[in-house]
Amino acid sequence: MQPAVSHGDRPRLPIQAILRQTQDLPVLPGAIMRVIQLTGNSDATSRAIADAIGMDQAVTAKVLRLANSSFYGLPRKVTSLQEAVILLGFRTVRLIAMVAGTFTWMTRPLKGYDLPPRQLMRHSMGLALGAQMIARIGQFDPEEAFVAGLLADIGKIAIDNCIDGKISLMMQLGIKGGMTFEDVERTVLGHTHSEIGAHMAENWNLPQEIVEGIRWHHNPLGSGNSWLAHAIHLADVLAMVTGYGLGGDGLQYQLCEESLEICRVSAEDFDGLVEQFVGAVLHGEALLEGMG
Amino acid sequence: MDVRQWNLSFGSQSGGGLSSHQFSVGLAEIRVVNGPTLLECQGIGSCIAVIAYDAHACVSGVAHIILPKRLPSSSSDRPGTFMDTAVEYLLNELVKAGAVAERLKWAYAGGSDFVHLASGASLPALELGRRNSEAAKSELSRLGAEVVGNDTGGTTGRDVSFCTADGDVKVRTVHEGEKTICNLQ
Repeated sequence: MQPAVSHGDRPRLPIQAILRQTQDLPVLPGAIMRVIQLTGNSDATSRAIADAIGMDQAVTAKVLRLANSSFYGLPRKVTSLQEAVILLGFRTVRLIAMVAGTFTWMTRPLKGYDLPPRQLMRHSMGLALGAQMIARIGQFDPEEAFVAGLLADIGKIAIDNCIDGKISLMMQLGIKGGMTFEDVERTVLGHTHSEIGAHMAENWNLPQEIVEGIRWHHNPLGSGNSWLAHAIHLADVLAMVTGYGLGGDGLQYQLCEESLEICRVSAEDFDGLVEQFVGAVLHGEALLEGMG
Repeated sequence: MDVRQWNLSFGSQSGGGLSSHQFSVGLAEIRVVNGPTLLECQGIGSCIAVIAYDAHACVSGVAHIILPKRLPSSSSDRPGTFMDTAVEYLLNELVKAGAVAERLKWAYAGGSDFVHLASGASLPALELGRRNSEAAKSELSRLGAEVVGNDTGGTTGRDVSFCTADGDVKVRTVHEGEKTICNLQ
């Protein structure tokens, strides 16, 4: 795969300056950070996880709503966090907490990217569920893949203001030059949403594997062959092809052949992958039902 | 009344709720409506939206189709997933709702191909948009459908809508804005 950029590589603003321009920059709630730390600890108790989530009332309410969605099909309504952890398990509650903690800003419209309300959340759920599906096929960690996939496009939230009103011109630039959308972003802004998203994840002290998965999901060879970047990359391809949460960023998307090998999937079975992906995201929509 | 006026979100950022006559047709979904309506498929990538309308009976329908044909390994029970099951299913549902097959006018849109191997090598399996477009043409021809318009190919996503009030099938892309590709009245 070619290096991601060769078109007019000219950073205009440092990433920090771009982030400063973004009003209401997303913040990962402290409760979610604590949950991520605890679920990586095999000694953590269900009580400790429940206490960590319980520190944030808004997140708590969303976690309970998600746990009671038909996606999980629990036999009875869960009314306490501790019960949710016992019935669904640590790792599942971690995923639910991530969705709950990101829901508010993931459902905002991104005018710059031509994404109506909830479309970034849909696309991000597509990346999360797609990466989880690919990880299962490749026998990697599906929960890790879900979390990294969910956050892969957070950089779009920060860039959105910067490209507001420019998307049509950016698309024309990409079409004329045969450029990927990342190339266009770098030409116009000097940075890509992947780089900015990785910077945000670093600021949140997320595990380095997740940071690198976000940074390299469009160009996974740059990750030094992290399976996570390859899994998110393939999930992104599937989400793009099916238009799942698709905004203005279609254009040329370069599929890294090595991702297929590393994740043990066959390009010849592309239709089968697309069918599986659609099944996963349609099932996943049940998770967000009733979330307003 | 212009039903298209009820549209609250197509081509805008409002994302407001859909009116009772307006339907957003999702992946693998088939929707048939008897009466005035606005049907839309947002974010069509390599998929295809197939639209049909019997203006006399005021019965219309849309299928948001994902793949050209059912695979031997397919487990999906949604007929809207595959071109070789979706179009015939849509036709049957339209007739059940009061449409007359011979009066139906058809259109289809979508089938972008924006995924390419980074090496530049060609791999037909990845050209899902092209394969879907060909399958739509072939399946509609097999069913003797009167196709009055289509808009396929390219490297960007499309929003596709159909409104009974004017019979227009409209396609919107980010770089070209909205255009009417045909009229089904």
